[in-house]
Amino acid sequence: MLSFSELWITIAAYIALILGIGSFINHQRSKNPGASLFTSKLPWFQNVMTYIASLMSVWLFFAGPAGYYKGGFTYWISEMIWLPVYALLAHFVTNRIWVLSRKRQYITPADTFCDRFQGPGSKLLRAMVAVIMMISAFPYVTSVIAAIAQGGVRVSDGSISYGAIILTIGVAMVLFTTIGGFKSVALTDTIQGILFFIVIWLIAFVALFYMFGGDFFGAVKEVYNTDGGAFFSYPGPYGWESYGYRFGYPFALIVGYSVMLPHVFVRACYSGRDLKTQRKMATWTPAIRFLVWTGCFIVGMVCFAAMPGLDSKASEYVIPYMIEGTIFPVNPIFAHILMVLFFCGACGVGISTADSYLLSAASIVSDDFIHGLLGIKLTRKNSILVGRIVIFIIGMAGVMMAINPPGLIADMIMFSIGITMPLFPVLVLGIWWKKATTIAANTAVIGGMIGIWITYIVLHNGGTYYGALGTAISFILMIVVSLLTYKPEKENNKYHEDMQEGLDEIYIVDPAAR
Amino acid sequence: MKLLKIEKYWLIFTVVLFIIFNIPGVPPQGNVTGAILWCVGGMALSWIVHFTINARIFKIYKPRKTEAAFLTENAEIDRIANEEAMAELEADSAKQVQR
Repeated sequence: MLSFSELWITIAAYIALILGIGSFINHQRSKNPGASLFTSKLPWFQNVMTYIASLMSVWLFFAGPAGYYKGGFTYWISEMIWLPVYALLAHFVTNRIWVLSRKRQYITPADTFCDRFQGPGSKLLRAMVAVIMMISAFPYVTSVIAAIAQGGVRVSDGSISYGAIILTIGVAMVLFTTIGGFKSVALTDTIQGILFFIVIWLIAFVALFYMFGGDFFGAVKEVYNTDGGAFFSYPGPYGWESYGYRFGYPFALIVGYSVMLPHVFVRACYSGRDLKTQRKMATWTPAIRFLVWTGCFIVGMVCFAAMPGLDSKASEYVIPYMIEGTIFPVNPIFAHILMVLFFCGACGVGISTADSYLLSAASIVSDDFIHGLLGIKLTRKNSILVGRIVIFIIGMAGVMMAINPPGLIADMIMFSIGITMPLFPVLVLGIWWKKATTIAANTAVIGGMIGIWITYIVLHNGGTYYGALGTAISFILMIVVSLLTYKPEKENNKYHEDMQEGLDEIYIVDPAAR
Repeated sequence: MKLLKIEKYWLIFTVVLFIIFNIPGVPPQGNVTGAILWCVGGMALSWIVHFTINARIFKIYKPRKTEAAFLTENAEIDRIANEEAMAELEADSAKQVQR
């Protein structure tokens, strides 16, 4: 639908914008030699938006509408019902890590784990956490670049080749992240977050208006008539929302998606500027996620009513199908504008996730592998240089993988989430249980990974339960092995004292509540 | 780190709701009214309880420091980092001069 030149102008304008922001932030940082490439302290709105933007990925414009199209109302609910659990996670987990992070200047997720678990095997734990986080990075970055390129090919009716878009977007993304670092990623995430929020709701309203004359209940009625109510009941119109999936998918979202993905972990636990930021995160992120996903759900539902019967792959492109098939014949200029916005929104939401991931992956290599494991002490200047080289290498590897991506976008993203889940019990028990040991942490991580392998390879149930079995194994091993191996002299006993001290410094607890 | 009563209730509520909501076979497959009631009821309960308890937690855990105090601390952390970076840069250039 978009011509060759229209799409290239869109891509060029978009790239110019993000590279401009990256260069500006880089210029600012040059005045501040102590500023890190990987971390920064952000005010609440920016922290909330960079958290949301780095979570959303291309899911929002591709796999999201497809998910609601195939999963129906009960699938949407299975996500929405558990969003406020983030407030609980913030109180019991992320805010506690944040308190210590202020004192100890953590950079990577492994820093938290290895600060708590300093007994024999601490280096092995750092290596395993770092490797798991790195493994989760590749499918995510790959899926994002692949989805943007597939979207580009789709909106241009194949007038631009898939490889050309991948190389252009991929290289621009890598350059932008390399130049700007965390601060520019956070700033562009905020801008892109606002953009994609507006675009998804615009598309939802437009879909409703053009397909059902703005009658929401008319659309609901049509959905009901289309499939006799399957959309509004279990297991959904395509049989997706089985009882097992109703448990496995939200569990992955609560544990993996909301906290354990490396780029999300850094935002939830390290980058808050003050307590107000952490508290706003707890209340605002569930609310904004609800609004964004609900816009996406309306798109999926309306498209289901108007274009039933699409297969899995085609359903990931319901938005361009809708623009092309319904809006273009009536209002071609508006359809063009909408297609450009759709593509920009997809780029924005995708790149904001991928650059966050790239940055986390680079900090893992620089801080965990080079500094933590090899023991090479880098100066700040060299650390930034190494970080940039690593971003470039990982980013280009993601670009290469995206040229021939495996499977559906949704499957790649969910694997990334699933693989980080077994780290959650190690983290939580480490924070809350003094008897948790380093040996147990290592055993739990290994056991958890075996659980992931069993789920995906042996049982072929990865698409239903994700990392649930791995998390359960990790939790059990963590408790059993800790009870068997606990020796106070071998563990970091100062950790809990320091955390309590940190909490006492920032909170006054109402004595009546005790 | 002892849990407050409200924290214990919060955890128990979340786990119990998760278990109850995921009881296999409830609501039966294909039952539209049952699914809508189950889903909307579960969602309303989850949002109301979590946000209510969270608000209560904010009141119990009152901030000891002001925003300004946090900003001062952050500025101090940045200042130290800048000084260290400057020292590293100076040491680097001294080495180069020696060579």
